[in-house]
Amino acid sequence: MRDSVFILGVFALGVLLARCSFLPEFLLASDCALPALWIFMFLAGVSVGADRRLSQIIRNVRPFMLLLPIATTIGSLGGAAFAALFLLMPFGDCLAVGAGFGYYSLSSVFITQSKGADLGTIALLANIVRELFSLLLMRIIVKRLGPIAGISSAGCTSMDTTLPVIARYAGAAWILPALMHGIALDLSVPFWLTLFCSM
Amino acid sequence: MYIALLMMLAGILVGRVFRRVLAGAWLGRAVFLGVLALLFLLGIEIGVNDRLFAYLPAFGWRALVISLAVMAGSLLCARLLQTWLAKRGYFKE
Repeated sequence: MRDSVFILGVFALGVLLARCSFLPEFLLASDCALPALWIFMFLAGVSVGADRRLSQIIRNVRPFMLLLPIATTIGSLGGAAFAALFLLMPFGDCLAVGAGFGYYSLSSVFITQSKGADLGTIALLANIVRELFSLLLMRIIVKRLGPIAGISSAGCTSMDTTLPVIARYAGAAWILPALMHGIALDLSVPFWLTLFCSM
Repeated sequence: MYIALLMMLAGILVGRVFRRVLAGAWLGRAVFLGVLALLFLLGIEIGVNDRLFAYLPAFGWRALVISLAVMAGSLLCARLLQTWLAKRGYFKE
């Protein structure tokens, strides 16, 4: 719990400082996030490599892991279809937003191009919210619903931004499934977006 | 994005080679600090996006509803998968 509050606080501080234009130029250039992610992936890698159970983790890769991205896809698109009924929005629009799987940069740009800036903005917001909630709630999700649910809720981000929290709360054994899940979903996003934007 | 994955692979190799030196709790703490730094930067990235804030009142609730429905669907399916796998004897050490 303390971790989650801390994480939320740091995030809110970032938003607030940026809103008040209270930050030095070099941070606002917004390109720092990428190298920071690289450094951080390196660190996460070191912690896996130094883990004595590494060989056991690799031995644990099993065919059932391929079912993870399928479950996430069915669940995400099902949920998006349900939201379309509730919001009285066209099915194609809602499904396109849901098919971003948290990959907000690609999905918002793609949807803005083919469906306009309004839906593109909804896609940006909805997919950021998915990443954010997954980061903030990972501990609770893994504890209550299990590691697969944690990876699934993260969507595409299970291969980068949420990977560290997955490793922390689900355990190092779930890093490889999370990576495979994220990569598989990542590759499927352009396909789904093309399909749903043409609906 | 694939650079990030390569960085991780490089990290795994370095960690493997120096595993005797690196064992200890400070590594976990470093990773957590990294999470905080990333979130701070994500916050800044969102905070400087004026367009996003301008549209928030108009589209925010719709985005939130879609996002929550999508996550609920994913959690449900993942839970079903986990139950099904557990019944078939996976996850036993």
